[in-house]
Amino acid sequence: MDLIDVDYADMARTAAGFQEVAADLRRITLSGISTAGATYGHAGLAACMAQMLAAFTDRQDASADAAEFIGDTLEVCSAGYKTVDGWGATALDGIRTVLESRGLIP
Amino acid sequence: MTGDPAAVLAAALLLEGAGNTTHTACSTMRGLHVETWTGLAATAYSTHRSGVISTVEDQATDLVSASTILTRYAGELQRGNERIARSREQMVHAWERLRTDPLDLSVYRHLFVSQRDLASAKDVLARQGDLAADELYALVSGDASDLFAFTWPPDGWPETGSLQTVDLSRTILEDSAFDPLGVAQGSIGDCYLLASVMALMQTDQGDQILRDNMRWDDERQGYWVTFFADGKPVTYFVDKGQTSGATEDGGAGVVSVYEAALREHLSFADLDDGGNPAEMLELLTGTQTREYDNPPLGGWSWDEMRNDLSTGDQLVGSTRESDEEDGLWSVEMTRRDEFGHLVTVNKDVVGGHAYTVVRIEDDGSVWLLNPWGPENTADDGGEFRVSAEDFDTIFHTVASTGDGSRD
Repeated sequence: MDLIDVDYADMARTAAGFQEVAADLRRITLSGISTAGATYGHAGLAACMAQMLAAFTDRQDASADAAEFIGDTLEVCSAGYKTVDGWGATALDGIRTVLESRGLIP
Repeated sequence: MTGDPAAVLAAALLLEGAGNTTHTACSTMRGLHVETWTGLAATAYSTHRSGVISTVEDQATDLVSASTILTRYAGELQRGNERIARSREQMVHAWERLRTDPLDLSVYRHLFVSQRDLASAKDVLARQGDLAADELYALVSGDASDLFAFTWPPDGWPETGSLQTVDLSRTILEDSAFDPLGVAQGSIGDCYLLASVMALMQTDQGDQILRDNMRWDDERQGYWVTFFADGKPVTYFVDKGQTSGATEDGGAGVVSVYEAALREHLSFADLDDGGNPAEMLELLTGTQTREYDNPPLGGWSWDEMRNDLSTGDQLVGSTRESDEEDGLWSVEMTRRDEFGHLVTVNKDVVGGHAYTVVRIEDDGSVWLLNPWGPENTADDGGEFRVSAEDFDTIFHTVASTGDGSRD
């Protein structure tokens, strides 16, 4: 008996989708990019590249973490709803039993 | 250095690929939503999801922009290299003609033109490199996203001092007296930085280093600050000073700009939990520093430390932790009163702290400056002198900008 109006399968699919996106984002690597001065012919630009790549890598990691966090949160929410749904069904069954025993409902 | 256009183009392609993959990830995320879910939690999720998608989209755009900048630079590099090669060829040709016929005056004109072309080509290339670097720095420093906030911060809510709320005036470089006596530490544990900046402020050469490594950007309304990590320049953009941060003559100054930039370099937690003055001096000056210590048998290298100071180098001393409950070392110190007379007072040296070394007397007594600044609770501020014996007891290391390998 589902008391909460949410499609658990949809939630699970969406959660898995975000986790896949996180995995895709984690596969991106910038480590093949040179930071050698000889590549750019300009020491300042090479230093800038090193700093930029470090920042981009941090941001890329954070992007993957954020996508994964959404997926994980959806799973947690879904599990929480299912638990509450279970409590609600049990409670309704109990009420129904009491009402039936007192002849208040057929 | 001539540069390798093919390698630059390869870097651009990798960045473009990363940007495209990230764009695709954003499209996928846009298609992911739970239709049937309503209520407060669903609204919070929806807001959060939009924020993440928008920020990741910015990252994708920045990656592609970086690729575009590098592609353009690769083209400039290719053209520049060809122009340099042509000019060199013309120069060689002109020299050959001159050897054959030294009286052919027209050759001198060719030589002049080819030399001028060579210098011009190199200059154009250097400017294009500067332009590309500025644009790439702007991409990284312009990241206003707060992706990290989308995951729960494991360290809890940010401390007040970690926030950057203090306005940095465009005229700091003109207004600053570069006077170490005006510097006062705030509530951030970065005495190692401030004592080092104050040490540099003691000489014109040190002032120039601080000036050279920060510049105002009128368009972006903030400062670019360059540090030297392992001797290599790293540049940060700052447009706000730290809340409860260091001040100079009571307001935001050069120290505030460097403090905010160091927070970018280290993160606030690392800025706040103390540091090594030798590493700090290296980070500020880009040159190798030296650490003097006080071995039980050898003692301080007084002559070498004095020599460092007399040749324009700067020293920063680090104190041992005190066993006293208040963390202070009570000492008899000498200072000048308001009339300029030397007076002896009983005051405190702070344990686990960094001090700017002002000078060392012949008897080994040392004049110091506390980054806590004017009218501080330990020593009242200003220069003070401790005896050689007290210095021996309280200080464990002295960092110097002087030459020499690290001990």
